[in-house]
Amino acid sequence: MAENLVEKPFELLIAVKSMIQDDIALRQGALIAKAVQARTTLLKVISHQSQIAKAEQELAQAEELLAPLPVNRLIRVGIPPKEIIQESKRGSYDLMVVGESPLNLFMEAFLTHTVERVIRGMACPVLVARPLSRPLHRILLCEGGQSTSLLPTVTGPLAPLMRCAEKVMVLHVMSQITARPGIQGWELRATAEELIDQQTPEGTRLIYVLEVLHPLNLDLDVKVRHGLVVEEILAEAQTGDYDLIIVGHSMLRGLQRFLVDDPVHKLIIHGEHPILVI
Amino acid sequence: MSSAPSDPPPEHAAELKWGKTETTAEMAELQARPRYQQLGLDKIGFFVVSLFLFIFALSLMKQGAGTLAPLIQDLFRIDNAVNALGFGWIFAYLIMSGSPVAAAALTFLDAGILDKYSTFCMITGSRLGASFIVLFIGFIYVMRGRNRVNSLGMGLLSLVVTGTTYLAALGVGILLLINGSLDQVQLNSVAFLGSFMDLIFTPLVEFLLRILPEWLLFFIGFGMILVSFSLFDKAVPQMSLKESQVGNLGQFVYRPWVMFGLGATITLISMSVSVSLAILVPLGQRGFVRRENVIPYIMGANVTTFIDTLLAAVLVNNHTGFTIVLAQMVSITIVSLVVLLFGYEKYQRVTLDFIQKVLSSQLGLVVFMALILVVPLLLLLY
Repeated sequence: MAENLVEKPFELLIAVKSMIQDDIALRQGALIAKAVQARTTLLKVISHQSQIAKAEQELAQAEELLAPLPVNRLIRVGIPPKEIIQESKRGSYDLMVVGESPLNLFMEAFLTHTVERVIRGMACPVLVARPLSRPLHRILLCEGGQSTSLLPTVTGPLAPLMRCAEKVMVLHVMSQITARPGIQGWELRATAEELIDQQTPEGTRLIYVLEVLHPLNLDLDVKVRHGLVVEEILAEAQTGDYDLIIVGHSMLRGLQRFLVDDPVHKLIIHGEHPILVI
Repeated sequence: MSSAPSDPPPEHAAELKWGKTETTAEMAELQARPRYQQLGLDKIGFFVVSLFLFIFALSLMKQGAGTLAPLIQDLFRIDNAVNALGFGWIFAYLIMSGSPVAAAALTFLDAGILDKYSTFCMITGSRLGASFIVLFIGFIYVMRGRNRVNSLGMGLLSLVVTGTTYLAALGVGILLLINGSLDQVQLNSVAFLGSFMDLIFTPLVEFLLRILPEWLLFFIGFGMILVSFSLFDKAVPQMSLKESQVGNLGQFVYRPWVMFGLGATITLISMSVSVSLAILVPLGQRGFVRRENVIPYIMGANVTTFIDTLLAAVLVNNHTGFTIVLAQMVSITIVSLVVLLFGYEKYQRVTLDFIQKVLSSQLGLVVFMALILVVPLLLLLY
């Protein structure tokens, strides 16, 4: 995979939303930009032309947080998720950072989160920032095998970000139970090492993941948990004190979008850690 | 977050009924079968015979039920809704099936042995008892030395989901019966079916009545219902899911309402919750299914499992019986939808945690098994 590790500048897009001193996407984005020496584009979406002057002022303040790194400033007029998606498609960004907008319980049931709308239309990986921003030293990489873009992206455009980590834990969650009595289900209690030793489908997949990530020279570890997928990811993130959760997003199309549940949605709603969706 | 399963290792192949790849040899074997089997005429035959026996059985049970009043009311002392619940529950345990017990409840209603609330509770009890079957089969495997957690997981889950939702639905259903909101909902074709049944089956029943005691007709009919369900199982086509889109079910976590619909649809076709749970095996290929998918599936199965009882109510030609079964279906649907829409994640977590606790120790399992045996007995003695 060494040929995937290109040395072009890391292109970062930060969608700035609220008051600069409170903007969580900006704070997290600044930490990332400084860690990987990124070329950063600050994007502010406003609803009316009359807000341009204020937006320019805010972006100027934001740029100070990123000094001395190179920064572009963009102001767009329109609907935030739509403009953010369009900009992510226009530029060849390696990563986009957006801030989570907490919704109350009532609104959660009826409104589609702006962040989730961005994720659905994303043209590059999206990092959902949280109120508590911190350097990304400990990363939890959730590997399920459904997203075909996760590993190539992590070892390719996001390699500079991964190399900043002190530790990367590859997590696989088995949420199955036996469908009927008599099925031997030792795998449903097995550790990662046991699954790898016995070369089960999960074990084989984990070996493959470790081989793909090996060229990044990371401090890698692998773990298997058994339980509900979202719960186990959140539990692991909590107990392991990780700074970032990386998950793959299956690009479901057509009928599948209505039929298949979206764990990313639940991780965003229930989690407290920054989430990088690929 | 979890990988797609593949074919099971050789030592597991014998455990699984489905999940084999069709080979050239198997295709040749299929083509070598008699023509009627290739066309599925044998399955149609099983279905027709099963239906005939089902209707005949109901006619016999309906005829003989009246003579059992002393047995039910004096010996078993079934005289209120609570002990009717326990009676249906224990009865279903004994015969390892819920539908015949539900059919029996309808004939008791028709004979005036049970009132509508007791009938409703007896049918509820039959479903609680029926959900024990999957657990019982798992328990046999435990006795044979299989791992406790894996052998009992699905059975315990089925019992707990069924128990919690049906007991909540009990209250809703009783309210529906009290306020009479479903009384006007009836099938217009009942009269036509009644005439049709009179033409075909009444002469047969009368013939048996001339040569056998009336009370025996109930038990013959009961036995016949068990045979009819067994024949119906043979009539259900074996689904080859490996090649279909549905065979990928194990990979994804489907939305709860999708699994609810799937459980309801498959049980509507198979008319058996046990069969529809067993069908999860090929859907999971290695014999595993996603635990996120199972609970809503069981809930859906618990709604349409009443279709055969609804048919029995139509055939018994008792309007109150039809209303009772309809109240069952409506109440369990309401409870399931409320859980799925407003509290599914919490319900899922609590249920799975409870099962984990029960299975984590021998004592927990023994206490649980004791409870599900003792509770219906206590209800029966009320």
